[in-house]
Amino acid sequence: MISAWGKLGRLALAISLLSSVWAQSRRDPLNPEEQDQLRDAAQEPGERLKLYILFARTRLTALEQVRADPKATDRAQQTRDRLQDFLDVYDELNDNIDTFVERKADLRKPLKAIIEADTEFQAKLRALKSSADASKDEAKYDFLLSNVLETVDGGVQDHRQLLSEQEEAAKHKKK
Amino acid sequence: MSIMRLQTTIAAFLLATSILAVGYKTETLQELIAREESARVEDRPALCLEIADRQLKSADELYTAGKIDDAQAAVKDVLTYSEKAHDAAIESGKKVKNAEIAFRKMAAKLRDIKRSLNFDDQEPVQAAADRIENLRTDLLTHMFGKGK
Repeated sequence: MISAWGKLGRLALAISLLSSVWAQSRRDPLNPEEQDQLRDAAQEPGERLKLYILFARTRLTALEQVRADPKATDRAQQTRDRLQDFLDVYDELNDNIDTFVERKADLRKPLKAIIEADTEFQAKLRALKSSADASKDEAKYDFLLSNVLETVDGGVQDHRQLLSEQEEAAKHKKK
Repeated sequence: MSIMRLQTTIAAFLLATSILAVGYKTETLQELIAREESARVEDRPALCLEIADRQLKSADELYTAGKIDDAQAAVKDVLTYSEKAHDAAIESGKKVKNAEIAFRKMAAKLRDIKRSLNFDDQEPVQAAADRIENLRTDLLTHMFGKGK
């Protein structure tokens, strides 16, 4: 049996999720300048993917700044927003990889940079998870954080797999 | 003898699942739509997500080819089948997590498509991305609300 406090907690979480959607309505995770940069690199897989790594890294840096700022107000909500931004950008990075794979682009070089970045993102997210476990406002973004970690963990595996497939294909091409 | 029977059963199972998987991918869009209409509610989320995903790819190609009206029609289909996937996932309790992940990816793709368009053509694509984000959050709320 779930206690009244448990039910209240679930209700608060549901309201918090819904309110964050209303707040996010019509929201683009990238600012106009970043969008222009991507547009300029539309035909350059290497450049475009590098930009996505940079944008994802920027979101994590912003998140770390919020966490480190003693004057930050509503830190839990801000942490949640930055995490969502990171996830949105990371999803777009993966979507772009899929598109370039369909176009048979050689992604060996960018993939190496992406895998390196994945490792860096994993370390930062795990550090956040450890510090969040000890924090009382963790409930506000715990599910999202687990989701992000799961996505990046899955991403690393997919990117490694794709790199090895592309390296194998390149070997056969040379023969 | 029993080991041989087990091996045969496993082989038959693997063959059947791989035939099903290949069949799913080789079905045309019209076949998938026809199948969805008569499918059991628990099979609908996966079917609708596949249809939505195919229409999203189609929309991307149509926008690239400059066929704006056709592309917008494809985006409408993405929404229609995303909503059906959402409803069936909640009704059956099947593929809720898969639908949530698929919605996230579709919203990301729509945002990416939107940015490649002229300002005048961006609105319906942004609206579709927003709607899919809302469906996604509704699924999350449903997942959290379970067991109340």
